[in-house]
Amino acid sequence: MSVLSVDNLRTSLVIGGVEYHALREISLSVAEGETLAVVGESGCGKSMLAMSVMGLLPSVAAITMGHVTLDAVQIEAASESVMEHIRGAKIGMVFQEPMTALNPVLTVGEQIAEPLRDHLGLSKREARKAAVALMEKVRIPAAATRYNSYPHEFSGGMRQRVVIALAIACRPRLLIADEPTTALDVTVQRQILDLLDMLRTEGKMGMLLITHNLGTVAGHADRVAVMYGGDLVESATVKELFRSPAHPYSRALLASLPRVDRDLSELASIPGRVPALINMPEGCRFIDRCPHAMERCHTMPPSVAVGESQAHSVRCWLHVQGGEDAAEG
Amino acid sequence: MSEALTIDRRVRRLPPGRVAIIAGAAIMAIVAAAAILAPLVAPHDPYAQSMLARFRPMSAEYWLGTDQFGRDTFSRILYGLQITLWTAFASTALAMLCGTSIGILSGYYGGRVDRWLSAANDLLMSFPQMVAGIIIVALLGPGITNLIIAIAITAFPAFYRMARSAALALRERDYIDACRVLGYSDMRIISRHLLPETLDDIIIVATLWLATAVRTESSLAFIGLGAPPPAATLGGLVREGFDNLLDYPGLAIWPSLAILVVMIGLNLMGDGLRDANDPRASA
Amino acid sequence: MLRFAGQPLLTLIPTLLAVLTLAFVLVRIVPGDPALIILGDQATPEAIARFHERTGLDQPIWHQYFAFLSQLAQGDLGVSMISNRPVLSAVLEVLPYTLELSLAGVFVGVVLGVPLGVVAARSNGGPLDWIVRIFTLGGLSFPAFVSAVLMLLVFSVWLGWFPVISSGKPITDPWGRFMSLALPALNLGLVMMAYVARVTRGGMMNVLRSDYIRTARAKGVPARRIVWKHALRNVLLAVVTFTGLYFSVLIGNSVLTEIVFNRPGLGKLVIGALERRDYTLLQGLVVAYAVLVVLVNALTDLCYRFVDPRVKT
Repeated sequence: MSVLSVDNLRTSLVIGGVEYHALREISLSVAEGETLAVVGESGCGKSMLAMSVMGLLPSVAAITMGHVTLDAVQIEAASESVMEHIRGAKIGMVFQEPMTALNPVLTVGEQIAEPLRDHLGLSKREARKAAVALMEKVRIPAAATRYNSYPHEFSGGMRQRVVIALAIACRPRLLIADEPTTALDVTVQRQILDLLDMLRTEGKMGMLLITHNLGTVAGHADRVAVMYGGDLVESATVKELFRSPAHPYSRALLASLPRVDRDLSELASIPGRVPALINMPEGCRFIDRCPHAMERCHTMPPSVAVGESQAHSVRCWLHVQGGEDAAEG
Repeated sequence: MSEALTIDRRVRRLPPGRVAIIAGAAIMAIVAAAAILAPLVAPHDPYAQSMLARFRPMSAEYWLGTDQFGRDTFSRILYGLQITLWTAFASTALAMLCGTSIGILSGYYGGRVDRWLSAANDLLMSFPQMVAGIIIVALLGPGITNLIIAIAITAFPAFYRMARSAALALRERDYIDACRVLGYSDMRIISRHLLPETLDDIIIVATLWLATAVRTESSLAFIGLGAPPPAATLGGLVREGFDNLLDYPGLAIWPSLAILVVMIGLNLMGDGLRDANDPRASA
Repeated sequence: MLRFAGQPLLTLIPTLLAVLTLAFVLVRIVPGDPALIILGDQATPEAIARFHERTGLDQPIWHQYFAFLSQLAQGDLGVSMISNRPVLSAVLEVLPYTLELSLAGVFVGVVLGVPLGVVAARSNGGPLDWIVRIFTLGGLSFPAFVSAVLMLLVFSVWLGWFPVISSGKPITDPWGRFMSLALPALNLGLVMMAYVARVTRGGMMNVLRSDYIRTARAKGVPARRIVWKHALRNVLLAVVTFTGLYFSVLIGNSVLTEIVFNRPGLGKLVIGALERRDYTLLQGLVVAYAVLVVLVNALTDLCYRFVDPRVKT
């Protein structure tokens, strides 16, 4: 059963009275114990997707179509007070920037204990004990004495462990990790990703791993969703995507990758960049950079299944019958 | 295209603070006009005493009543506005001229003199401004010129500090180096580049300090250190009214309201200007 | 604890020395001979000489300066030129009233201003924000003596809730003392409140945009606690800094408040010293004010270290 399923989700921004679609018709799911990686250049809508699921969209943005289902419960229209009981309890979230993600004037212990008291109703004492246990679990040395430390006394990697501890404190069903290692040293990145893997397996959590690093995808994800300009252009198992990418954008991504641990930000083989939201083309949003652009690309391409398994789908006219044969292109 | 249209509209939207600036400027325009035209507008001679017309209530002849010497309160308020506005304006202008020029020179050239000056400035800034004003006026002796000097001294540090930090920041910019390489003189760099860039900040600080100067002037006058009698000053009028507060509260209330109107007008303008200049406020 | 309390005090010594020098110079640049001003221009040369000898004005200036400093080091501010009374005891006699008034004013200003600022920030552009904005604009526009006169008129004269003259009540009459303090403190506090509300609002807007607030929301902390605990604690840092800076304005306002409410205090002493041209008393008062400001700055520093865990060690 899937922990999270997103069906046909559309998130819109209203700027100056005009509605723009920041996410268009996104569908994906995350199963128990599985890691779904969401990849794409910055500005592709990865974080917008995470915030839509969390119900933490900025005031100018809103979900205008589709459903977000968490553990068989629809939450896209849930009230703020309902979401307060879901966030931190059923969904945990780890952020990109550990240096600023923790409140500088509260002790780390206090910050980890807070969701335990809120969601699990633990007493102050129980919460403290549980928080120390969590700190040990995420391998913070001398957890009991560091309970009373403040964030500035921790290194970046240690702070990220604290953020992870408070994200998994209430044993959530889903863990959203938004570029959890981007801001960290390379040596620490591995440790944090391995820690997340371990916690996911142990807690049977589903994980939505947002990243722009294909090396991370290859090493730590089961399936991948490739996003471009607010569209989910391709989703497949990691193996299948790396073996036979179907969308021109995915192909370009992989082609630009001499080594698997290279960041997408260094991408050179696709000229141009993701267009700004207010200048998005009507149809396929990749049209300006696509080597195969055709007349029909001016209308939104449908999602089609490719390859032998139903799990591999791509949103591209090339794979619709009557189009150019893409597999050889 | 519709998108282009909406973006245009966003840019042309009223900048934040515009309403406040207009309201404040309107108030100040009326107040200033009333003060400047006081000799024409005032229904009575503000200094003419009349033992027969003491403590008159509000009437068609004496719009806001009369004081213990039978002088017309409304006329005295108009003349008081004159003194208050002139003192505030002159002292702020003096502080602005001295503070800005010394601040810019100090920040631009740096060095030991700059360090000593800014240390002394911090010191002056931390001493209670009102107490400093009281002592300086008392030591200099009464008179409007001394009052202006005293208020200017208390306002000096704000201008000095702002101009100095602006000069410090600008000194580091590349194009200033380019100007030097081109052989421009320091005076030219300062007057052509530094001054225009800091002008916005100077104007905002000046507007806000105008309000402070009005506050200081009227406070000093209230204490009895304002323009010497028989000149009518707003603070002095409040003081005279205060002495008769139990029987004739109006004598204190009307000049108080006049001070408030001036303060609100200036604060509205200063607030609005600051908002309009703050890139964060429009976010 | 003692070490970090002592450190800021030590750095204040040069500042203090500079202020003392300023006080010394200030009193001596007065045009004219104080003896003539005090004794009148009919004074005999002998009387003037006696006066100079008594006040030390016959000594060379640097001699006077060092005498002033060494006396000060022993806690001696000299004697009043007029009454021959030790300046220190005159200052200490009224200092509690001024301290009491300023602290109560700060208390009122912070306790009312912070919630007002928070409410405005939460409303952010909404009707409450505008109400607070207009309200604080009014607060900023009141010179302390105007608000004091109007409050006295409304609450004491018309409504009769408070005594008209809040002259010093002994500590043995706590209710009377409180009532005589209430209105002056409210007067100081209301003006300060406007500034505090604005500082709080601005700080709150910044903090609410920060990453750690997003983290708190992501772990399901209720909105109310995010504002009043997670964000407010950070905003208080700005409020503490502001209070330290504002103190010198507050002291100035306390002078006017003391005059209107006829309260004993440093302010009334200054006015009295000026009226009688008592230069030694004035010099002592300048020193007293400087010490007060310096101490408050040290106190702010200490407070800051207390609220912000990052500045320890």
